[in-house]
Amino acid sequence: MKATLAVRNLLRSRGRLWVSLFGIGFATFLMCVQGSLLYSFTLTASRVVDSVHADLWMIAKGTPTFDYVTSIPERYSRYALGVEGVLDSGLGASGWAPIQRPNGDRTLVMIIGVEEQYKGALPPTKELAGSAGLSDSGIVLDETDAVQLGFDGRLQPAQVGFRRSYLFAATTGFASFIGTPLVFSDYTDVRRYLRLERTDASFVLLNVRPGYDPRVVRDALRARFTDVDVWTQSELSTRSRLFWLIQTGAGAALLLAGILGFGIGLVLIAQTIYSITAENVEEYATMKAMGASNFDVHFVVLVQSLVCGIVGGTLGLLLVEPYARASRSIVTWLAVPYWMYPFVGLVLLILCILASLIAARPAINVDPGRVFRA
Amino acid sequence: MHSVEMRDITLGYGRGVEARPVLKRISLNLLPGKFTVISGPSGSGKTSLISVLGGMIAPDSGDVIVDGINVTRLSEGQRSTFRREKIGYIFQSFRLMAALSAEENIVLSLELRKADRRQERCRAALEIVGLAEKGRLKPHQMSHGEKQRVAVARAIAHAPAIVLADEPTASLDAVNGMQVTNLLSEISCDPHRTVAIVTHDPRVIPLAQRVITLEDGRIVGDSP
Repeated sequence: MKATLAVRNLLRSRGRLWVSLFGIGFATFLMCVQGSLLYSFTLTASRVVDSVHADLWMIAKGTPTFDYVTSIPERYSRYALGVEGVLDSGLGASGWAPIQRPNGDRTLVMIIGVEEQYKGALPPTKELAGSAGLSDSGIVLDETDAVQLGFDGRLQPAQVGFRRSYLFAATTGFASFIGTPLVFSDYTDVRRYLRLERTDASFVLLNVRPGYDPRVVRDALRARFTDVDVWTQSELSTRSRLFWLIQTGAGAALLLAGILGFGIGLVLIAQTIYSITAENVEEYATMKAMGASNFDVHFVVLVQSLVCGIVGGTLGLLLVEPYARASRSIVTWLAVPYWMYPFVGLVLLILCILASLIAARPAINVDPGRVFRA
Repeated sequence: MHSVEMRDITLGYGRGVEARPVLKRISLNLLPGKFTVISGPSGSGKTSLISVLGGMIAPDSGDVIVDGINVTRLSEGQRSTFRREKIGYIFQSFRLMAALSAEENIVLSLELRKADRRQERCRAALEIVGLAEKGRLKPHQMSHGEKQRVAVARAIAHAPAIVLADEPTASLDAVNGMQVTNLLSEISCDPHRTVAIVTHDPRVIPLAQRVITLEDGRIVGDSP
């Protein structure tokens, strides 16, 4: 009956309830979208690293993220084979290069290529070139950058790093989040576009022998090659994510917006429930006069808070996917993971409990003696 | 048989120069099975007396002993438990939950009191007050008299040892006022229950078996 009383008292203040449901829905929506943006941002920031088939990465010392690699001696690839636990090693090249389209427009792209064996989940440039009937050098781009680079699905000539090339295929999953397109090509072509010295590479990729712990092999490599950094794949992935998240401030802004969403939600629920509690304070006084415990009183307020949270939150969450779908034309890398919904639901639950603790104060502190004042 | 005793109760509101004594060394015994009326002019301390008696307010000094328990020595939480278990209240302004039906108001009261057989007790209480057919109505669908009868049903549903009523007829017309007074008189016949009514309604006095008169915070009359 306490729950019935709680819900009916909520429904009696219908106007206030709707405003509050709208506000809570918006706050939930904000939390979910910001959380998804943050999540997608971190995934995108390390997408290339995570896609490459390698246990260990060797990069120039102090490189903060994969996107900023500079050249290192390629001979380290062969030397590394002498370290116990290393199964194989290969080379990769990446860097920023200007691309010029036939109409003369120029823009900067990040071009990436690794030796065939290490491609993993990167776009299969050779196979795509074969399908496009191309036997010359060419580059593959993400479909989201196709318009920017003027690619309409047909073979297009383009100059990359002032070398002749072709745009020949579009792929998915490698949208750039910094506005500079990621393009992929064969390792040897990338070296050519970037004009790398014959003796240099951008990074060395290594796999460890079965039964060896990549971290142990990493330590051995670090001891052997003191002028480069050696990271496990997950370490470089995390390093790249943290760089973009924290050092650039972009991720911090997303995180702050997410926290702001939580704060707005807390204030809205607490404010609504507080005013409904204050409105019904005489009923709480009657309940207390009849011997209701603080738990009984708090239970009523908590139910109201949870009802607001569940209804408002559901409304907000229902809007997330349509919004995400609509906004992918602008934020191409935005993804809402399935676990984001229960996660935001849990956050909302905590928020409702906190709000009820704040809102229950006038009801808990009410003097039961006031019932005798007519 | 249970007992209710007040010993040397004093109570004042305010502090310092604004201090105003409302109960001055009140001592009395309330007996079960008797329809007791506490009467007196406005400001005489009637409501304060039943507030102290019902464990709603702690007096400045003195003791309230109910069934051997000194209520004045109880903590706030223990006083809540005491009210929950021992007291049934009837208020001048009914104080029914507007969002709940008559039945639901009674069931809520029973739920707060953690009583068992709630529906059964609720039906029995509504039958006693003659509203068995109107249990589903909400307060705004009932007359003042009916509301007060629901309040009486709510007060007695958990079979409390003490029923305290504050001006129960003040908001009612003559017919309804008499109906409620008769009802309270009937429930006070239970030898295991103490019923005390604060009123200055002259229609109630003739039915009373004991009239305690207060004036300026003191008992000035106690006639059986």
